[in-house]
Amino acid sequence: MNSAVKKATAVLVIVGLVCLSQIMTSKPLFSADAAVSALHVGIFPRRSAAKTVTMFTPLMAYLEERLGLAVTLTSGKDFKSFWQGVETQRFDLVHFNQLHYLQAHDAFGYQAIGANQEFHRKTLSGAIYVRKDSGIERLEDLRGKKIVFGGGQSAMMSYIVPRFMLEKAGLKPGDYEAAYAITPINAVFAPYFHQSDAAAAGDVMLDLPSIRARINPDALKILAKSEPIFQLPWAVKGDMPDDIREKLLHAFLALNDSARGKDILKQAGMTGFSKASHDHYQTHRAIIDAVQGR
Amino acid sequence: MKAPALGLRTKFILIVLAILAMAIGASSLYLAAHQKDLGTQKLEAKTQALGRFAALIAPQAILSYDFLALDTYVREIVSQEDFVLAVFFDHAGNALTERLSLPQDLSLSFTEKPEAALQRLQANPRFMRWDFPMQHDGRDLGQLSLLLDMSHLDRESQALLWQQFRVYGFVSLMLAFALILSFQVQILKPIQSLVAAVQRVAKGDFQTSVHVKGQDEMSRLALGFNMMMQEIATHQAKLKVLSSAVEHSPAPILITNIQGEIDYVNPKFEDVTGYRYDEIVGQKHAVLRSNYTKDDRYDQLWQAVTSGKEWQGELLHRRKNGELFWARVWIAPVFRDDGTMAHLVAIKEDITEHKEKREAMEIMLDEYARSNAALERFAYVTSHDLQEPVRSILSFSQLLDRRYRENLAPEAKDYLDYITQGAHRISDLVQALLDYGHIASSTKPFAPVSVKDIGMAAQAALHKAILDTKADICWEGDEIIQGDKDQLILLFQNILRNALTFVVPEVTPKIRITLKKDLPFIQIAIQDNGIGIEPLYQERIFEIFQRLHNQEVFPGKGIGLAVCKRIVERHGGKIWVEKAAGQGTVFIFTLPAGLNR
Repeated sequence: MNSAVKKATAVLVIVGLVCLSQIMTSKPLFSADAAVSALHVGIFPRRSAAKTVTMFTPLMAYLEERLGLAVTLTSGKDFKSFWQGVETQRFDLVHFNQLHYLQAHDAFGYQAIGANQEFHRKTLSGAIYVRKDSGIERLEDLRGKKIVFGGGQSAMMSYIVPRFMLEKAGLKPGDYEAAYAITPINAVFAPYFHQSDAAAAGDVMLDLPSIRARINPDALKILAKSEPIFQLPWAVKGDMPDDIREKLLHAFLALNDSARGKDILKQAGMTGFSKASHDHYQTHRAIIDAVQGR
Repeated sequence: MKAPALGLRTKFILIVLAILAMAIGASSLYLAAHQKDLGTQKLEAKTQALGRFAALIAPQAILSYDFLALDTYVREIVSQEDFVLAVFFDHAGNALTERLSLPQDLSLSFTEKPEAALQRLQANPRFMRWDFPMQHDGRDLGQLSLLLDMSHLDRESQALLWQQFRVYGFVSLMLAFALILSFQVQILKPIQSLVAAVQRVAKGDFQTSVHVKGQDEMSRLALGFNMMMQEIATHQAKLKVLSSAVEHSPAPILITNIQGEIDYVNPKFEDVTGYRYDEIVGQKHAVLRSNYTKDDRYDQLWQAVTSGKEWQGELLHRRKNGELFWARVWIAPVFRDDGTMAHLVAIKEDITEHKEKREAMEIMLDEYARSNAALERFAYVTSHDLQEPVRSILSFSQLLDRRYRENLAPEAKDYLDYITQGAHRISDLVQALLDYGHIASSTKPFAPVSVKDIGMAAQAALHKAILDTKADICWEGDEIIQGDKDQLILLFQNILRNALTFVVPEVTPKIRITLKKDLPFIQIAIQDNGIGIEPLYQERIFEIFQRLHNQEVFPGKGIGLAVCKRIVERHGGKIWVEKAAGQGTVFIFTLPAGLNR
C-alpha cells in the first residue's frame, strides 16, 4: 500500500470519528438552537431489543405519520446502553419502568405524559403468590421461606412493590431467602413447581394465557396484593415544546379510539393508553423510598 | 369327494404364486422388521442426542428459574415425532414442566402430574422411557425424562409393509405373468404338443411326430420323442410282421403265463380247438387235456419248460366239442431281459390226419412186410421144395441120357438135352433164390473187417476168371467196415464177376477199386472198362431175375446184382450205378464204417 493511499485512509478515519462524535454528542430535538425535524424514542429493555423493535415499529410509524416528524426508535441491547441514551437526553420520548422514570425525572427532567394499559387495566398491584397446598396463609408465614421475585431489584411490580409489602408485614431482607427470576411468569412458576415457597409479581399473572397454558393456576393463590398503581409510563423530555407534547399525547390517546390504534397497541403489548402525569407516580416514589430506606 | 384335476399351467401358476407370496411375505416381513430396527436405532440415537443436549442446557435455566426456557425445551422436544412426554425433574423429583403432548387416546389433564403419567405410561409396551441426569458443577439438578410412543414405528413398519406388499405384489404379478407366459411358450406348449402326440400314439398312430425347434431341453425331449417314435414304428412294423405271422400261422399258437393261464391264441388255434379267443383267454391250458394222457407226461413237460428248456412231443387234446385230436406240440419259454421267465409259447400242429395216415401206412407196411415175408417164405419153401423134383428131373434125365441115349431118335436126344439143360437152369435158379432169401434171414452178427481183405477173398474166388481175362485189378486204399464178412465177399465177388463178364471184346478188363470216407459210412467205388449200362437200365439191373443180355451172349442167372443190393441194404447202405468216364461202369455202394483194428 503506497503512502498516498495510507494518507487518504487516515483522513477518512479521522473524518468518520469526528462525525460519530458529533452524532453521539449532538443536542436533542428540542434544544434551543436545534430545528424540530425528528423524534428520538427510547424504550427500556423490558424485552429483547429485536422483539422490542418488532413490537413498537408500527407505533413509531403511526407517530411519524401523526406528528409529521421522522421518528427513530432506540432499544438498547441492555439497560446500560439504554440508560446512556437517557443520561445524554438523546431520547425525546422514553418508555420507562416506574423506578427508572422517577430516576430520569429527578436527574434529567423527563415528564410522564401517559402510561400503559395492560390487561385492560390502568393500574396494577404487586402480588405474592403461594401454592394453595403450602399452608402459608399470611405474609408473616414467609419468614425463613424462599421467595422468587419476578425481576431484578429495579422491577417495580415484581420486586419493589412486593418488597414493600413484605416490609409492611415486618419482613426485612434476610428474614426470607430471596431469589430472582428473569420474568414475572418464571417467578410464578417457581412455587408451582416447588422451587420456592412464594413468588412476587404483578397481580395479573394467573390470568395470563401464557401461564394458564403451562400450569394449572388453580394450584396457586395470591397471598397478598398491594394497592393498585399506575403502570409503565411514557415520558418526554422536559424541554419538549408544548405543541409537540400535546400532539404526541393526542396521538397516543387516539390509539384507544380506532381499530387501527388498538391493533397498534396490541402489537406493542398494550390494551390501551392512559393519560398520566408525574403526579400519578408519587405513590411509586413513596414505595421506592420505603424500600430503599430513604 | 375327488379333487378336480389341475392342469400343469394351473399347478405352475399356483406354485409360482405360492413361491412369490412366500418370498414377498418373508422379504416384506424381514424388511419391515429391519426397517423397524433401523427406526428404533435412529429414534434411540435421536433421543440420546436430544435428551443429552436438553439435559446439558437445562441447568442454566433451572438455576435462573427460567421455567419458560425449560418449557420451551420441552415444547421443542415434544414437537418431535414420537416424543409424547418430556419432563424436567429437580433432584427431589418435583416436575419443573408440565407440557405434555399425549396422543388423543391418552388424555391427560393437569390433575395428573407428569410423574404419575410417566409411571402410568411407561408400563405400557407402546411407550419407552428415557432419563437424562442433569448436573451443574457436580451438583445434582435432577433429570430430564422423555417418553416415546413407539407405536409410530409399528405404524411406519406396517405402512412400509403394505407399501412393500403393493410394490412387490405388482412386481411379482408382472414377474409371475412373465414367468407364466415364458412357461406357456417355452415349456407348456411343447409339453402340450408332446401330450397331443402321445394321445395320438395311444390311439395307434405310431407315425406321429412333434415339431422340433431350438436346442434346449424341451427340443431335445421332442427330438428324443421323435427318435423313440421312429424306433417304435420300426419295432411296430416288425411286431406287425411277427403278429401277422402268428395271426396267420397255419399252426395253432397259444401263449400262456408261467402259471399256465392262456394269454393269447391265434385264429388257427380257434379253428382247431373250437374255442373263441375271448372264452379261452384267461383259462388254464389244462382245458385242452383229453384225460387220456398220463399226468407223468405233463409233469415231464412242465419240468422241462419251467427249467428253461424247450419241449416237443405229441399230445392228445380235446376240442371244445369234446372231439379228441392229436397235436405235435413245441413249447418254449419266453424270457424277459432280466432272464426271468415271462411266458410260454406253444405251437401245436394238428397231426390227427397225418397220424391216422401214418398209422394206416404202418399197418400197410406191416401188412406188406408180413406179405413179403410170407412171399419170401413161400419162395424159399417153394425153392426148397422145388429142389427135390428138379433134382429128380435132373437125375432121371441124366439117367435116361446115360442108359437110353442110343435108343433115342435124334430129336428125342435134343429134347432130352433141353430137359437136362432146363433142369440145370431150374436148379441154379432155385439155388440162387435160396441164397437170395438166405441173405435176409441171416442172423450172423456184424464184425469189423478190412475192405481190402474182403476184396482179396473175392479175387481169390474169381482167380480162374481173372487169369482167363488177364484183368488188371487196382486197389486204392483200405478201410475197416462193419459187416457180415461172407456176405460182403459175395458182394464184391458178384460185382467183380460182372466186371470180368461184361467186357468189351478184345479189351483187357481194368478194374479200379477206390474207397472214400463218408461217415458213418465208407463209400466204395468199383469202376470197370466194360460195356457199360445204359442209364435207362441203371435201376432195373438191381431187380431180381432182370437181365439185359441174351443168355448166349452173356451167361448168368440175373440175380447177382439183386443179391448185392440186398446185402448192402442189410448193412444199412445204398448201392447205385453210374456211367464211368470214358467207357465202363462204376458201382458205388456204402457200408458202415467200423473201428480200425
